[in-house]
Amino acid sequence: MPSFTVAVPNLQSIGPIVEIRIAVPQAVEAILVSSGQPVPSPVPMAAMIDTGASGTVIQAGVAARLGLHPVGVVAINTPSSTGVLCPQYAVRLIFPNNVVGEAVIIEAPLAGQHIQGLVGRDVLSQAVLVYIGYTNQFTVSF
Amino acid sequence: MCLARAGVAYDEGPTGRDRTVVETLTNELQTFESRRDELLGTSLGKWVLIRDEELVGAFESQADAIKIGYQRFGNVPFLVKQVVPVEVPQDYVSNHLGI
Repeated sequence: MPSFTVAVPNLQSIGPIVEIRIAVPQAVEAILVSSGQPVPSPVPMAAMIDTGASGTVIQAGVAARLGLHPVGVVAINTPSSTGVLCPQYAVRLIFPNNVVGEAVIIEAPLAGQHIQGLVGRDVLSQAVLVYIGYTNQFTVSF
Repeated sequence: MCLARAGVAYDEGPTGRDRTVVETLTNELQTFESRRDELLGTSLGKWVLIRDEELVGAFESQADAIKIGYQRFGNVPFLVKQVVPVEVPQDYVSNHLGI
C-alpha cells in the first residue's frame, strides 16, 4: 500500500504539514508532449492535511504557473463567507515517497498562511490517516 | 453569487482583458443553467461536459467527463458539472482560506 510518514518538531502547534508537488494531469501532459510543448515542472508547496476541508485546495496562482485552465466551478463555505465560487482544476498530486494521485481540486487564496495547500477529505476518502500526536508524526496510506 | 470574491485573476494574454477564472466559464454556466431542468430529467447524478454553448454529453464520473474534455478540446477551459437538484457547497471549517 503506497504511504508516507511525516515527522514534525511539534505536531500540535504546526499541524500535519507535508511537502507535496502539484503537476499537470496525465491528460494535459499527453497533449503537451504530442504537440511538442514543454511540460511545466511540478510546483512544490507545503500543504496541511485538513479533515475540516471537504475538498483539496491549492494557493491561487499555482494553476496558472502550470498552464492549466479550469474544468469546473464550485461554491464553498468558510467561517466568514458562504457561496463563494471557486475554480476547479484537474491536477496530479505528488506526495513524499513518490505517492501519486490525480484529483480535481479548487484554487483559492491562502494569503498570510504558512501553507500553500490543503489536502482535504476528497483525497482522504481514498486513504488511511494515522495521526500519532505523542510521537509528532502522521502517516497517510492509499 | 460572489464572483468577485473568488478573485483569482485569469490572464488571457496581451490581447485579452483580465477576468476572474470563474468568469471564463460564464458561457458554460449559463448553458448549464438553461438546460438544468432538462438534464435533471435525463441525466440525474451524471456529470455533464460543456464547452461554450455546446453540451457534449453526460458521463458516469467526473474523471470520465474531464478525460473526454481534454481529448476533444485540448487544454482549454471547459465545464464539468454534476446534475443534481440542489448543489451542496464544499465546506471549510478552519480559517485557512483567505475568503
